[in-house]
Order: sequence, then C-alpha cells, then structure tokens
Amino acid sequence: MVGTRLFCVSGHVKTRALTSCPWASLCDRLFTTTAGGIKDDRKLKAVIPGGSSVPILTADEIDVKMDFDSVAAIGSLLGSGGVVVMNEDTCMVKALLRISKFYAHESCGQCTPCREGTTWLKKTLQRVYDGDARREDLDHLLGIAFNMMGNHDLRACRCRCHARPQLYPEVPARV
Amino acid sequence: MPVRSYIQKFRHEFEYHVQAQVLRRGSCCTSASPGMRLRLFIDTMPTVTINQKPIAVPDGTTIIQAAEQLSIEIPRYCYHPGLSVAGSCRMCLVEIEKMPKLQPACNTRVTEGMVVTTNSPKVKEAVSGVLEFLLINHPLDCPVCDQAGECYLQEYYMKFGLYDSRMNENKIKRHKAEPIGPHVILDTERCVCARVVCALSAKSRKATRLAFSTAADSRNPVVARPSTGQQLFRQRGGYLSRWRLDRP
Repeated sequence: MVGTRLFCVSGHVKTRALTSCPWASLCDRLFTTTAGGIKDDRKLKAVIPGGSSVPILTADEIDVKMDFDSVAAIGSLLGSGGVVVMNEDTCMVKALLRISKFYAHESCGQCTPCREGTTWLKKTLQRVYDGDARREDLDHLLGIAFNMMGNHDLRACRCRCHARPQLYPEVPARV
Repeated sequence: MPVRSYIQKFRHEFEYHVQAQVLRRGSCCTSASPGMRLRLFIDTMPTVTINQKPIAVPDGTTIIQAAEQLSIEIPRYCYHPGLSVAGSCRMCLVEIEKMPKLQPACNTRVTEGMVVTTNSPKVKEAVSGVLEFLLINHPLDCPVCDQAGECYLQEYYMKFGLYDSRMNENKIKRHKAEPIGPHVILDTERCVCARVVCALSAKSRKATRLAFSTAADSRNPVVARPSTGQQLFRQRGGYLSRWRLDRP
C-alpha cells in the first residue's frame, strides 16, 4: 500500500499526537520518534495497535509494520489506528476492566451475546480486580469470551475476546 | 479513440449488455433466445440443502422458513412469522458452508447451492452459549411462573443447555410489572424474546395480536396500544428501552 495513514498515539507517551505516517512504518517508531518516547522514560509493557477493540500487543511483539496484513499476521488488527501505549506500571487487569466497563455501557443491547456478555465480563473482572477472584474465574472469562466471539452482530463484543489471553500472566497474582 | 477500440474488441459483450437491458424493459425483442428471456423474467427457485436434505424454495425465503418446510426445527425466540425480523436473540445460529461465522437463520436469505447445517457440534455449542447468556439474568421463579411447563427457555435448556451455572455475580433486578396496555403487563425480568419491541414498533394491530398470542392466554385476547407502550418505554427506561426503536 502506498501513501500515509492517520494514527492517533495516546497513553503513556511524551507527546500525544495525531500523526500521518507512511503505511508499514514500524510500530515502535510511531511512539519513539513521533510521540517522543515513553513518558518518564519507563519501560514499555503493551501497545494497543488499533483502538480499544483490537487484540493487544506485548512489548516483544511491537517490532511490526503498521499495515493491515502484517498486524493481522501476528494476531491483532489495525482497526481505526488508535494506538494506545502502556508503560510497565500499568495494571493490565485494571486496563481491561476499564475497557470492559466502556463496552458494557455502550452495548446497544440488540443482540444477546453482547448485551449479556459484556455486563457479565465487567462484573467478573471487577471482582477479580477487587481481589475477590476465584480459581475458576479465568476459565469462565475465557469461556464467556469464546461464546461471544462470532455470535454477535456488533464489533463491540469482539474486543472482549481478544484482550483476554494477555491477562493471564497478571491475574494469578490477584487471585 | 477509446470508444471505438473498446467496442471493436469486446463487441459481443456490448451486444449482450444492450440486449439484456432491452429485455429487462419488457419490450419485445425477437432476436433474444427463449432461454435468456426465461432467466430474466421468471422468478428463480434457489435450491438449498439443509442437513443433507435439498429443497427448492422461492427467492427471498429465509433459512428458518425453508427449514420449517423440511420439518427441521431451529430454536428461536425473537423470530415470529407475523413480525418483522429482528435477528437479535441469536438462538437460530446455523452453519453455512463457505461462511466463516455462524449466521442467524431468521435473517439470512437462501441462495442457490447454499449448504446449511443446523446440528453440527459448532452450532450446538453456540446455541448453548447464547442460551446461557439469556439465562444468566433470568429469575429462577419457575414454581410461581405462569409460563412454566410451556416455556421455551425450559424446553431449550433441556435440549441444548444442561450445563452447570457459571454465573457467580448478582442477577440484574428489573421492573416486575410494566403496564404496556390495558390488558397486558410486562415482566421485564422474565421477558427474553424481544418480540414485544417488534410488536410495539409495528404498525398493524394484527401483528401485535399475533405476537402476544404465543405468550398470553388465547381466551383473553390482547390488544396492546403501540403508541402508549412506546411512550412508556421511553419515559421509564429499563430493559427494553435499551433497544433502539426504529419508528419515531
């Protein structure tokens, strides 16, 4: 693909920016040069490459070209190009909870999986975040996400499913 | 000259195009072959295969209607022949060949050569998942519910569900008695099918009556006043107002 694409870089960066970058420029270039690097010179933890509804990338995975095919090849999506950068201090459970709250609130309520599923995920995640989690909660979260995936009409609930596996390393600490 | 070169090189294509347009307008064209005229003028009957059973149905038929003709039952809550298609409950998901995702049978029209499966493990798993979603906030007051015993929630649970509940959170509480007409009270906790929304947004009284006839006692015919119901939903909010009503 030729030409440029708009990216909105936000989160833990020095200068949040709406920039026009050439297609297939490297993902880490986006926020190291364009946005001035990570805020307070912390280490990078994760990047959402295309808005809150797409699968998240870990710090090891960001050596990727920002075009649809390359991002899809590593299991994420470019979406609307809303790049969110998270530094090492970010609590992924909290981040996911915040996103879940948004989608539970914004679900239009038409289709069952999204209407019921987003609220259920939000409640369960809230419990996990509050330190009241149970051993089986993670499997339930994955199960709910699996059932929502593909059975809905709307994009809103797709995101829930994607963000999930990234949660695994952190949650046991909270259980 | 591009026009000249195009027509010279692809003359047969241009001729076919012009001929088809003349035929579509309905004017008599002696040079057209009878076969071509048939293709353009007569409605097609696409053949669809559902669970290895082929059937030819008129164009525009949905999968759920075609399956009914073959006596194949597809579970459904929001679909009702008297109402417009909402496609919201997601109970009627079916697997269609060459489509990556499951599709709602009530909202998908048949096409020529379509191969549909309604009993594959993938479909059963999806239906079970949707049923679980519908039931997580449903009250467990079956012993005092008038609908118990003739309840599609119970019936489909025995057929597709039979899982242990994974719901560890509190159920959402909603209005138990929402008056939506002179003879109808809507229990917003128990209501799952969303047919009432379609009925209230539908113009015809016949559709409304049809929709309620499955839920209400047939000896007490129900006539809900669409306008009143809509206003009530808008004013009071609640479960059903999360639906966008299309009609103003």
